[in-house]
Amino acid sequence: MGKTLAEKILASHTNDGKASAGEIVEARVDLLMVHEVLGSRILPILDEMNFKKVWNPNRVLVVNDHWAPASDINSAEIHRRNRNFVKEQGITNFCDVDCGISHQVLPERGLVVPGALIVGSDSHSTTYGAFNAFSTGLAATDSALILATGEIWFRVPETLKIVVDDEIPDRVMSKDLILKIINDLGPDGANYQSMEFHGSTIDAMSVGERMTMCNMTVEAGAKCAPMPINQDVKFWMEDYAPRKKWKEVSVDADAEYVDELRYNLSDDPLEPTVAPPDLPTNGKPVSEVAGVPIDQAFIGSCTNGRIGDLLVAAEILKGKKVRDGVRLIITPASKATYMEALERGIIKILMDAGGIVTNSTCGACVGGHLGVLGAGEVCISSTNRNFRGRMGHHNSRIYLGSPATVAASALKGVITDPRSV
Amino acid sequence: MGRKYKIAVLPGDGIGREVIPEAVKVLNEAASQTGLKPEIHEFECGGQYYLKHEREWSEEAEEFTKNEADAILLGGIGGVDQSGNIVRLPDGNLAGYSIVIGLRQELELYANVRPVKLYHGVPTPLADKGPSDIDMIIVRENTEGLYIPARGRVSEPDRELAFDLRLITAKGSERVTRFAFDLAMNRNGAPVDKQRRVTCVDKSNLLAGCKLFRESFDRVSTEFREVSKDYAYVDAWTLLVLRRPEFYDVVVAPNEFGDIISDLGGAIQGGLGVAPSGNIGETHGMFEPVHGSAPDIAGTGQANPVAAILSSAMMLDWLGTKHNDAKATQAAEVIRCAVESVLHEGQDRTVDLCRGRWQNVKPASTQEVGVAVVKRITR
Repeated sequence: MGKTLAEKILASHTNDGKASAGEIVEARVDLLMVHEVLGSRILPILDEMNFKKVWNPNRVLVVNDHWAPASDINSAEIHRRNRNFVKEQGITNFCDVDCGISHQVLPERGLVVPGALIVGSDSHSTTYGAFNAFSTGLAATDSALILATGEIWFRVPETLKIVVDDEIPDRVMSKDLILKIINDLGPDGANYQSMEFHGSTIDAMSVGERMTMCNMTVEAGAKCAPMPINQDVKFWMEDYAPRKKWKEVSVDADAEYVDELRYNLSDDPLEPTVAPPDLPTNGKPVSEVAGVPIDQAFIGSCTNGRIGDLLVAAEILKGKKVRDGVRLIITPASKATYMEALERGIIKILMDAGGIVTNSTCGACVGGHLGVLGAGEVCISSTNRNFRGRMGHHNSRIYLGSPATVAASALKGVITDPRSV
Repeated sequence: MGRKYKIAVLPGDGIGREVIPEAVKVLNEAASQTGLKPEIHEFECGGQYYLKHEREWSEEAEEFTKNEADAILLGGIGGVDQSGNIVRLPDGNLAGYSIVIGLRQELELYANVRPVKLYHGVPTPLADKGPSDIDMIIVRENTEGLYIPARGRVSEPDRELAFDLRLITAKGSERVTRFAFDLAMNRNGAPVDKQRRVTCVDKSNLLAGCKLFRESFDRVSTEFREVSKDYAYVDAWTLLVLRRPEFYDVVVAPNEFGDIISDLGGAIQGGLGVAPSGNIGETHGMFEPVHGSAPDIAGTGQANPVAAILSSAMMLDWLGTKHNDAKATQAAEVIRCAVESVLHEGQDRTVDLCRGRWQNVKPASTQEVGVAVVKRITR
């Protein structure tokens, strides 16, 4: 019997080299990413465990990204504890508040390679699936165990195969595609499954577009989302991890899947998709929600704050002005993204149009700072979650869309089809 | 013109009669600062009243409290007669039972809300923990569980036994857990990680009622995906909260467990002298300091009015949210800030708080603390 990507990658990290869906295996983790959860919740667990030394200081990435720089005393204390831990343990990979969002800085540092097994303390750690890796988010206790031992157990997930073919039209983005797919699945439609994407559409995507897709699989409950490798990932590896050795993991032709979804974009063209409150799986064609007045438009986050996203927004906003009364906030996914956007003149275009460009952080997406919503306010956002209260007041409302839809909506003051501006 | 609120004020017995006047003074001062117009209707009730009138309260008081009042501020119930015995009704219940317990049922005050917040200037028994670690709210189901009046006793020559029926309904569990999640949405999360969190404290590994309670909790939690779900068995929770109080944001529990753990909360926030509470339902709200009538210190002027004053702030907060009235919310904030400053400054405090760093402070009387809070508002 052939193996899926999830089975193959997990198998290569077990002692006996085996992993089949449904089995419990113990696996060696290649890299653990921890953010503020380290300082707030993992450290007390380590204390109880009588922890002395991290299993391998070169295989841990610590990131201060959620409230960067610290927004209040609590977050400052968490950051301080993280810095102390990094120093004490001699951890070599540390991104302090000046770096950006974990899911962007980890690949930028060349810390993910095809075939890797990566665990993060953040639920959106499925993002690294874009690089042909098995990656997933685990909570504080599991993260603490990995810090101490470098190992963790998994139930090997079943795999859901999703095949997408043909072209995504202009001003429609991979965000629209994943919003549509998770709408078809529902909030627990892929619970604990590996979502494995195939097809010419996925193959043609940039690394950034692929990361958006894998990032949001967790909103349908997915455990991980390893993708087959493509040309753009190979280029990325040359640029960002030139000295690393890696081997592409390919899927067996006779691999066993729990189900298969097919999308043919020439038969059924993809529309810009917007997810109204309060679930990311609420996606519907933009035409059904167009005209909803907005107070804030947000472009950023580990989902859609990358250079390609800022570029699309800049194309739409160039030489125009954001509607009076609307706040457009742009938070680049990393410092590197910010710098590139600066050099390419993108930041100027966004600011000329009336946008507020913040430093890189999770910030507004988690209701942390730099764009928190007040009572009754409506935000169109390129982020991943529109749960009630996510970005601020519990009576605020969040609509999720692509950066193109957010930019177009900022211009009109109402939710707008980006193909119409 | 601000909205007029009719407040039923029921000082009750013992120190209730000493702390409530201070709370009313503070309330009036905060109201006049913010332009709020509370109408105070004060009635006698409880054990002392029963001794004189053979009723727990007057018909007028009962009628007004149940039907007219926008909110109820209660002191403490439990009087003693001349020989020092607790005044009881013919059925053996405390005189005043139908007010302090009965109103919970009659007015469906299903959520007993107990903020556990450590203020600067208040000593906590937990070493190494401070105000930035202790800020949670315990929500106790208030109308069912082990405390429903379905109990009995069998006395026969060869055996003697007693039983209490514990009744838990899906409806009762859902409304109180929804209350807890709503509360969490309005807060800034747990001190440790700023994550909004509701902890379900029960004994669902053993008890059928707790299983239903937890199922209801799970069902309601799906409406609040931004709030993290957490569980603890009640025995374990008592240990966990002493070790890591900073992990907890909102805690919800069935009636009797909630009763017990909220007193633990009272201890870690520095004692019952600073522990306010609310009994809240869909339409009515009754607010009272947790300490009760404390006959042992009644009349000595030692009672700490802070719990009663903070209870009046909770009352205003609730009125403000319910009627979307910014003035009431603002008045609540004015009271809390004044209390915070008085506690932080440290000079005006009753004897229960003259411990630790403050052991050399000369204890102030109930009235002196009330005056200090009022002054702080006027200043």
